[in-house]
Amino acid sequence: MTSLFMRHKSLLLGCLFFTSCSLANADWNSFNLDVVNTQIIPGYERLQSSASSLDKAREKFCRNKKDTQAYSSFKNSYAEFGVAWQAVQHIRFGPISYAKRDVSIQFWPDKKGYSGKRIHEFKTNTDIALSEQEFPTSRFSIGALNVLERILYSEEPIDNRSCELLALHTQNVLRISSELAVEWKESMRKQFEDPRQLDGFFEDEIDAATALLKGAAENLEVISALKLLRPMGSFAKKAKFQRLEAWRSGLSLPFITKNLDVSIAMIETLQQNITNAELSSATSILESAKNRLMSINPPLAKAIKSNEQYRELKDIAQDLVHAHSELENTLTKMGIHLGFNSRDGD
Amino acid sequence: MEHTKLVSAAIISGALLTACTTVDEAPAQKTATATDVVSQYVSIAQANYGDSLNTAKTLDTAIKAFLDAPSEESLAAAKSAWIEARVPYQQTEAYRFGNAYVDDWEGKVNAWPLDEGLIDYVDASYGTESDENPYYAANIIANPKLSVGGVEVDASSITPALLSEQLQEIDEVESNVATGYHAIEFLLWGQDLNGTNQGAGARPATDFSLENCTNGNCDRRREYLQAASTLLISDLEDIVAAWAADGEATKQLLAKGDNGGLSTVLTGMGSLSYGELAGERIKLGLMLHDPEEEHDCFADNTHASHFNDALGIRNIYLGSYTKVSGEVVDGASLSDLVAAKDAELDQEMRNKLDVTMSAMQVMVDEANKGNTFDVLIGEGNAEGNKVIQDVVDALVDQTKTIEKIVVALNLEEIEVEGSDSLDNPSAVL
Repeated sequence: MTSLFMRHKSLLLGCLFFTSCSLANADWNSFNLDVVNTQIIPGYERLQSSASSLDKAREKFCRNKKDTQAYSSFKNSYAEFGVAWQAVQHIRFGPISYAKRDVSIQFWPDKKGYSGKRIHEFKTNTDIALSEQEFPTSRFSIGALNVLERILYSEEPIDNRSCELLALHTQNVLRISSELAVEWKESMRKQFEDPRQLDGFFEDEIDAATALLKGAAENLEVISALKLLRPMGSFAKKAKFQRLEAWRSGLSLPFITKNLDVSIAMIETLQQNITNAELSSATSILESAKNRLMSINPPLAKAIKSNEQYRELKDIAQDLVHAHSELENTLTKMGIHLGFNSRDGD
Repeated sequence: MEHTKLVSAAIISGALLTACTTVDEAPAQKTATATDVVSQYVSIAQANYGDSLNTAKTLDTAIKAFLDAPSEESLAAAKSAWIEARVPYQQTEAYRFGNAYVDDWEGKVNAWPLDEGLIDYVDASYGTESDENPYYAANIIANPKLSVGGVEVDASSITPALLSEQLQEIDEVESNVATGYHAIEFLLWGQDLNGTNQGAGARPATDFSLENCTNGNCDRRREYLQAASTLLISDLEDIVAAWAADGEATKQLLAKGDNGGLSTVLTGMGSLSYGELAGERIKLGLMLHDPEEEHDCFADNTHASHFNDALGIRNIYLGSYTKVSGEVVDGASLSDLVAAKDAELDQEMRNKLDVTMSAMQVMVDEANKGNTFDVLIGEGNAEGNKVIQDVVDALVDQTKTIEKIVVALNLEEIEVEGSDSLDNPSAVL
């Protein structure tokens, strides 16, 4: 089954119309490999190691649910895994797009409360028994991060049935993240090393670069539109903290900061590899936005309700929209056409 | 450039969802200018929204007949009219993205998904609360006065104004959908409690009976249904007026100039194909295996709505729309324009539109056998899942060619203003 977000080979006719396409393929190749080797593969390795810690922490806690230190360590492991995911969630092509791996790790925004309903269903219907092998294709496998957070930060005590569900999720994300790390090292890297290979994943170097940069650009759109403006509503009194990502754990802000970091890192890598890339404007807006975000008093759920911080966050969101536009215009001039993305529409 | 020709209405109505002829052979090339193409796009909008209004009026007549004499037969007639009304409306959806006027207006008639507990009684499995929506189970039909989060709503009389001005998107929650096709759909069918098994919502006609009322508050349920139907007509009248020669939507489009107009046309085609239809409305439901993620979830009419969305995209590319009456509104097309520049690219687009329509047809054929969208996306239904995945793949693939057309027509750096998606064309192109 082919995923919606699988990168299809496409002829980038745009190159015929832009003189900047004379940029050497070697430059693009160098950029692509730099991103893959220094950002994506290490990112997936961190995801794997944090998933391993998470699974162990879950196991320890569920053996003795009264152990407050184990509970605290489980929460910390959840946070580490969440941040590790934020560093790679912008990659929406390749191995992550197979067998609903992406939504198995996180399903957000969860506009209809899907995760909560599945937890309720699993806990109340004790006839549901899923093996580790059956779980990945079941409806319960969606949104490990959502489920973990809901259970870990619930006021209800964590019972055995909850622990059964937690185990299925932590084992599943450990399996997924291990596969991702291996597949990127063993298969995907080769696709970038020789993007023109017959029956390969990409058409050429620019096609491969487009796949990478699309993630960096879309990331900015997601932060501004979904992670900030949607929960903020039209004014502070109308702000809905429940629409924030990870509001229960108070990790909304660290998640956004990590998202910004990866976009900035990719743009900086582009500047280092492509001579005369006019990206300083986008970079400086993003750096400034990040600094301003870091001066917001956490948790974000509280900040969006404060008039002063609300205004600041609104400005930051607008800056990200501006940076996204700057980035996309510059990339177009460089022969990179990002095309439609999965966030178009509602 | 517009000319019309009459096609047998019997043929169209007799094969509602197979009316689509193949486009795999390009016709003799016509000369078309960008101005002609944009002008024909407006002509199709006028015809297509005009049909939407007319079929909504037919629906209203059927609803009035049902309310006059509630019975399973008159309810079935109203449901049938609703399904017929969806055919032209869904074809207009390719006008939504790119046209700021339409995008701002659209939520009044086709907002989705909705938390139906805002409107009426729901099954216990629906739950009583939502993280995002304090009005999740407000049940306006059962509650003449509401007080939620310190906000008082006087719903003692259910009128079009109450629905549109107070309840629609109340508390800035998008899923508080009080108006439009889906609100009416819920009132006619009720919740579909069959999960991923066959069967749609089965609300009894007596839910609207003053003599033999079931589930309480039948008088208010009747008021709600009539108010929503009246409102649908007035909202569609607004959009028909907006696409008149001197209407606001037409003026905004023409003010963009030829290339801006073409960019709008392609933005609509691509955004609907990819993010909205392939992603939000189809792939998401398939991944979650969740029947609540289907577009016409109460009526189980999702297959037809998706088919007509895809048909709308094709109409725009080919510059041709077949009206409900059978008349064909035909004229200069984007296809002509692309063919003049790159005949192979035009052929590729035509081929891919055919592939999409074929994949959609397979889904429709399955639905006609009882395997509606919610059945096809079911967990463990590998064959059904593949039918839906084929639709997604075809839509994604046709989007790739739409992107190529954007580049071939050199439309990428156009500044278009008017809405979020237009102010930032990079967000959609």
